[in-house]
Parts: sequence; C-alpha cells; structure tokens
Amino acid sequence: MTSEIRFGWLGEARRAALRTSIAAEVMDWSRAWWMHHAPGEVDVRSIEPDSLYSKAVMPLVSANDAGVLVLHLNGKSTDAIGRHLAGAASDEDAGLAQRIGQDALEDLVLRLRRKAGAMKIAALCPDVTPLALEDARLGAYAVALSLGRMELGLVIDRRLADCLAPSSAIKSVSLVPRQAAIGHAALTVTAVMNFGSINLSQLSDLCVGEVLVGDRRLEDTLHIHVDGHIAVANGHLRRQGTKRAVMFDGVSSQDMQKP
Amino acid sequence: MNETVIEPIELEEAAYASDVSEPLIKRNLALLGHVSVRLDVLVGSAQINIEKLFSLSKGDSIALDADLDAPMVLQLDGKPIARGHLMAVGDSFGLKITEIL
Repeated sequence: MTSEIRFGWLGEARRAALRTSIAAEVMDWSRAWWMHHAPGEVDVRSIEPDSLYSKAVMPLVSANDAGVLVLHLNGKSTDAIGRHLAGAASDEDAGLAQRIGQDALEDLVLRLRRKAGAMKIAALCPDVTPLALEDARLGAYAVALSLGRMELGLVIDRRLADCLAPSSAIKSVSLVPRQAAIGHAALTVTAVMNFGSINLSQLSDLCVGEVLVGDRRLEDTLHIHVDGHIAVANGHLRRQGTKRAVMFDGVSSQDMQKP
Repeated sequence: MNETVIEPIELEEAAYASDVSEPLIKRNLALLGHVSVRLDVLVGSAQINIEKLFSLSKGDSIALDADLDAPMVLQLDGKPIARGHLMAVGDSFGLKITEIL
C-alpha cells in the first residue's frame, strides 16, 4: 500500500493556484445547479485535510488512475443537498431531490476531473478515505466549499493536484543577489566634527555670544557616520549651493569612533 | 628591643547602601573643573542609498540637509548641549554660541 503514497507537501504557491482553480469550477458548477446562486455566497477556502477526516461518516470517493477525489458531505444526505440546490424546503419528492444531489455532486467531480485533463469517468461512491488523502504531508489538498448555508469538504490527492495546478504553471520568482536587493535601502549619513576636548570648567562658564575654540585644525577631516554607528569615512566641509556638503577624502580606519 | 607584630589586615564588610540619603559630594561642576570632556559638532546629515555609499570615491561630495547659515549643534557624549556658528579662530575651528541652556 505504501507504494501508492506519494510524499509531497504542496507549497503555498501551489495551494493558492489549486484554490483558484477549484473555486472557478465551483462557481460555474453552482451557477448551473444551485437555484439561489449568488456569487457572494459561494466560497472556497483551503483547509487541512485531517480536519475533514471522520471515522463515523463515510465520504464519497471517486478514484481512478488520474487521481483520487473525496467529497465530505458533513453529515448531509445527497437528497438534502439536492433540496438545497433546488431551493426546495419540503420533504416531498425525496427521490427527485436525491437524484439532483447525486447528479450535481457527480457533475462537480466530473468538471474538476476534466479541468485536470482526465477524460476517464470515475464513479462517486461511499468509501473509506484513502490514507494519502488524510494528511497534507502526503500531498493531499483540501478545501471547504460553501454555498450559502451548505458546506462541503473536498480533498484531492497529489496526482490530481499536479494536474489541476501543474508546478510548471506556477511562475517561478527569480531570485536576485542580496547585495543587489539591498542596494536601494536608504541610509542616513551624518557628518560629525570632532571638536576636541575642553575642561568642564570652561563648559560650565560658557554663555551665548562666546566663542568656544576647539583643538581641531581647519584642515582636519570630519567623520562620516552611517546610521549613528562607527565612522566609515573622512571628509572635508564644503558647500553645494546654499547647503553644506561634505567631500569624501578617505576611509576611516584607526580613528573609527562612535558619534 | 621592642618586637613589631606583623599580621594580616582584616577588612570590614562594606554595606551595599547607606541609610543616609544626603549625598556626600555636592553636585558642583567646579570640583570637576579639570576634567576634560570630548565635544563633537554635528555638521549635517544626508539620505543616500547603499549603492551610492559604496560607489563614492575620493573627491566625491554629497550635499547635507543643513543650510550654510544654519547653526550647528554642539554635542557632549552624543547629546546636544548648545547651538552655534562655526568660525575660524586662527588655524582652529571655533563655535560662536547662539543658544545654550
């Protein structure tokens, strides 16, 4: 039995493509079968396959060489589904409702199989869920289908998933080197002049209008800091129009320091 | 002849905190007048991207966000303490203070 199990977790891109593909088919199907079709009430969302698994209720299984599809009716009978689709409230014509329900579900399976490129018809019969469809780690993909208040669960195996959303159809994103990607990241460079050291006594007496004289010479360089960290370069104070500017002179080496 | 006794010194255990709340040394900067502190003058900043930073070569210039006549910020330990205009005082830089607390 284990030879039938294909290990293959589906990535997020594949799952998204599968959901889109199944949602499109379900929308068409509900338009054809659901009397009270309203696009806003049709919803298809990805779920974990094991959330549908139940030993108590046997699902409907459609299996052939092209893959396996399982429908969980969430405790509803096919005639209840038929009545919901036909918009019938009474229990009359149970046989007709049952046929509508069965035909509608078989049609849904057929549509999905056709979309996957499989022309072979596979019966939809109550059966136990194959092991490979119980767990996403084995390549199973599941969705919850909502048509108004009716909710169904649908699980497909990896073979069917590969046909419905082939990996080649998923556009691969080409990677760029990290250095190229960060090239446009903005940095703040700050020009700081080491003014020198003074005694605290000079500082405590300092008043507006006084000139504080540092021990840096006019030709000494400024330090260029990046984002407030170590000095990466040295430069000289210049002007560019009405703005101050700094002209790079060299890299900071021995005297790297924090601002 | 007196004999000198030589023995190890036993130190008393220091208390972690004193019960007395009054500071022993008053906050008076004059006491520390001889202590030197390093000052920096913030000349200006600019936004550039990493590519530009790594393409800069000697002699290249970048404009800073500060106007020529804007006061510069004097920093002590990275904290702004005064503003002033940069001057040349002989061969050295000086800062004419325009604002200080």
